[in-house]
Amino acid sequence: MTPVRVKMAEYIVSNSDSILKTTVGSCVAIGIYDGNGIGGLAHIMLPECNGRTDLVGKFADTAIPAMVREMEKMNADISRLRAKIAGGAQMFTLPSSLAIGERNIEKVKKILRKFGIKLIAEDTGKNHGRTVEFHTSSGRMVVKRSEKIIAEL
Amino acid sequence: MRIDLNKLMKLNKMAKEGAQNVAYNLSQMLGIDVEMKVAKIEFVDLSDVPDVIGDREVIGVYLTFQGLPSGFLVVLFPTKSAKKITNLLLQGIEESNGDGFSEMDLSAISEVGNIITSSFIDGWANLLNSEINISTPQTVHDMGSAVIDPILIQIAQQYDNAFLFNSYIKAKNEDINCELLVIPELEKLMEAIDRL
Repeated sequence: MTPVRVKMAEYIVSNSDSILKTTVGSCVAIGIYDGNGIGGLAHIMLPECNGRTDLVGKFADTAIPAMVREMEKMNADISRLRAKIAGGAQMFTLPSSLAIGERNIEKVKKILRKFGIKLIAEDTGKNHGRTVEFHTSSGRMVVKRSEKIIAEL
Repeated sequence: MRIDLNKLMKLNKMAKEGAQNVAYNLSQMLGIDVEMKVAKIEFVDLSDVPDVIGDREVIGVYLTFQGLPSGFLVVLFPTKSAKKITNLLLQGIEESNGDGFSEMDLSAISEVGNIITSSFIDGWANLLNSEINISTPQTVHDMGSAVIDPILIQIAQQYDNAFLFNSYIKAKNEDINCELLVIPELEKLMEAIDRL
């Protein structure tokens, strides 16, 4: 199966057993699935939309609700939604990039809790990039670094 | 935002001015003939940038600049080129140690990144007759798209798009190349070209 690329600030939801792929540094990849064939992957850049209603995939607090809504439309079992997340690294130590990765992770976890979505596993923080492959049906998440597998969630 | 063609031409002039400086100073430093292959400006969706760069492994030298204009800059060296550059610069100082990069290798790459950066920014400062300060460079060995990600996040706090100054630098006879990406803050950039 050829992975489908999820762009930065985008999300894709699928009900046809897909592999979704994206690469993150300080951004966070959020995989959500119902374990019953429906799942999606988001690549968020920032924690909060601050009232913006366009580009919902860009922010943690708009991307997660949008994904849940779409999964609901596909008749996903919303009460059984689970999540796996990866990313939120601090790539550099300049003051200007002040822990945005960490803030992203915190916000993602908060929103997941708010929606009652259980966080099953994570590979977050540290100081390196991650390529994430998410299997929408099984919820399997493979995390790679320059083609080498570093975590299987 | 409105931008007229005349201003776009001015932007192009800025890019070329910076690029010429880079090629000249880099040739001096490395003792090989270096040319700037492309110096183009694109108005991009931030979310398109990672896919353009791809997941290939690079040594990235990252820094910020403050003044007129302000912004972010990153030089991406494909690992093969980075290795060749360290061999050129550290000949006789350090034994080549296979595929990895030592502290000394990274600091040599960082120095080259620094030359590229300051040459480019100096070109702008001269043309604009402005003062632009450059931060200390940081070097990171990772996938290209992950290296650029924190920079895009910084800009994304305010904008969804940016002018991307993209230059490709290549040594004439050696298999050495790198890519220079400069993203100025939009407002400061507009202010700067008004000065031209």
